[in-house]
Amino acid sequence: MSINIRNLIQHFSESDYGQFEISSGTQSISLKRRKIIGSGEATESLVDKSEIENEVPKNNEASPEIIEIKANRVGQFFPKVSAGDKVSRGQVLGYIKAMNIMNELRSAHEGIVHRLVAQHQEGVAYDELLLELSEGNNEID
Amino acid sequence: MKLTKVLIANRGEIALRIIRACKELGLKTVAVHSTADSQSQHVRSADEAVCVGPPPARESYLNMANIISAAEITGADAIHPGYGFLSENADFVEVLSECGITFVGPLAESITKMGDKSRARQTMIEVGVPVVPGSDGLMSSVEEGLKIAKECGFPVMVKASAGGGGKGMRVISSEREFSEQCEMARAEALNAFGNGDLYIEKFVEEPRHVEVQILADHHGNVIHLGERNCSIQRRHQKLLEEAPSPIISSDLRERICKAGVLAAKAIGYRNAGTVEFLVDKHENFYFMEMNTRLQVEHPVTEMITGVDLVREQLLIAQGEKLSYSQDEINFNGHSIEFRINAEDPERDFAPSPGEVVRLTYPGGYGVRIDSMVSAGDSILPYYDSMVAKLIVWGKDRDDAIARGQRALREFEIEGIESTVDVHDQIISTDTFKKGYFTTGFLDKEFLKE
Repeated sequence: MSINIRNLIQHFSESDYGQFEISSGTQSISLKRRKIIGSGEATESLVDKSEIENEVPKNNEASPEIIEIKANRVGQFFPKVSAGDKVSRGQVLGYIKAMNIMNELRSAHEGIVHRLVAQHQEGVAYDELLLELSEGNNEID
Repeated sequence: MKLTKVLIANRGEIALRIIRACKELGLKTVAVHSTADSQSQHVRSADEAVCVGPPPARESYLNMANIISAAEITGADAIHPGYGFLSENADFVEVLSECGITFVGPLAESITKMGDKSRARQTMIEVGVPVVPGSDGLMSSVEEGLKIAKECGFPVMVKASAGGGGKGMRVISSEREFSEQCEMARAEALNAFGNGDLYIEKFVEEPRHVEVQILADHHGNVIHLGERNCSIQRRHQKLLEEAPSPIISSDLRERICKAGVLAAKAIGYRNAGTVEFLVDKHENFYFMEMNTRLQVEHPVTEMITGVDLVREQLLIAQGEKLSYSQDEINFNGHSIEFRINAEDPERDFAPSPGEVVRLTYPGGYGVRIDSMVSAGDSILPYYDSMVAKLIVWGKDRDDAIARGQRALREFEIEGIESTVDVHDQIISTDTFKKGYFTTGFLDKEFLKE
């Protein structure tokens, strides 16, 4: 059995767990949440990148902080930005369509779109991860 | 229209109860949950789950927009509201209808008609369902009051219209003392509330709470599934319910059940509903209100009739005719439901939320548990304090009581205070065993110190 690390990290980051360990054959992974800092908006949280050990190459550089943008309501997501886009505070990141109303989702932060997690027109739950911003103007690979 | 996917707009044991019925009918299910309930069993049991908000109910389980959106993004074609939360919200039902989503319950209009107490009372008077007699509105004079009192029959109760806490309230047992007592009540009300207006109604002596379960389809068929007795209450909340009622004669049963059907027909009711009555010591009964939804205590009716009420609700919602005619409803044995709540009976049943560290449910013949709580789960302070419903069945009432005692003593729960022991004490009293108890039973027998 091989472990799908990307999926694992995503599940972990969406979970309430503070720490998580899994072993399979020669692989062993330990994930640990470093800190959770509340941001300006109740539905967004600032989460550290999870730490990956053992078989997974370690990222030695100081990684930029990732800001998770989560859904503040239930509906269909219409992103207005793409990975790599620079966004400013107050910019519309996308819309959540609920009961035929398009609700704006504005960024409370400045940064670069690191990853779009929810797809175009995907149904999203409250608190579901929509996209990740890397803080400030730091480039990420 | 056949339903395919049902969203359950509720949590706790009732969400699981509805999911189970859906599964048995081959319907797909969508659970909704708050962020506090993401690990709940109803979330794990449903085919899909959507988080609809943070822990406070008003932002999650009462959040109409998010719940309707959850139905839209999952393609659910129906919503079952369970009990509480949005189950008696006529606006919600109307919005669902505009969105083309089936509501598993009555029409918005029926909810509105029964939600307005004076309108409901008027409707019942029109179709001949008895209501507590009295002045429809304020008593204009002592003379008029006396006339009404004579019509109602003594004893009567006068109440201050601005009243509360027993101020300006008098039970008057004869014509002779009527005017003097009225003047005293008026003076007291004036003094306490600055308003001496009084109204008058018949005093219901030794009231018992008896309710009739109704099923009605969209084709005009209405049947009853007998009655339940729910007189064991604390702080006006039911704690223990049983079916059939031990205190009514077969003649009264027939009359009260017919009145229940009449009440439902009077408002063109559809789906499952409950008509609540007060029964006095003279076997008079009076309409109190109709609950336009599934009741917490519905399992006792299921146990003695063999009818799965939630299944019937779903079939009715998809337009089918009732699966049973009145003649096909047979009553077998006796059933009691004990609400096991995270409450401290020693502290006036104050909620006792926290982690359930140890939990063993009773089992065996004639024992049913409707719950969603396992050892290690927490009873959250945001929601109601119910841990489980323990329902027992017996071939007769004595048999059900004996099984109830056995099951309650098997029930092991640690980490929180619960109502397990108080139930055992209640059903061990002579008063309960004789079946002759009123809505004041718990206050009189247990809370007097």
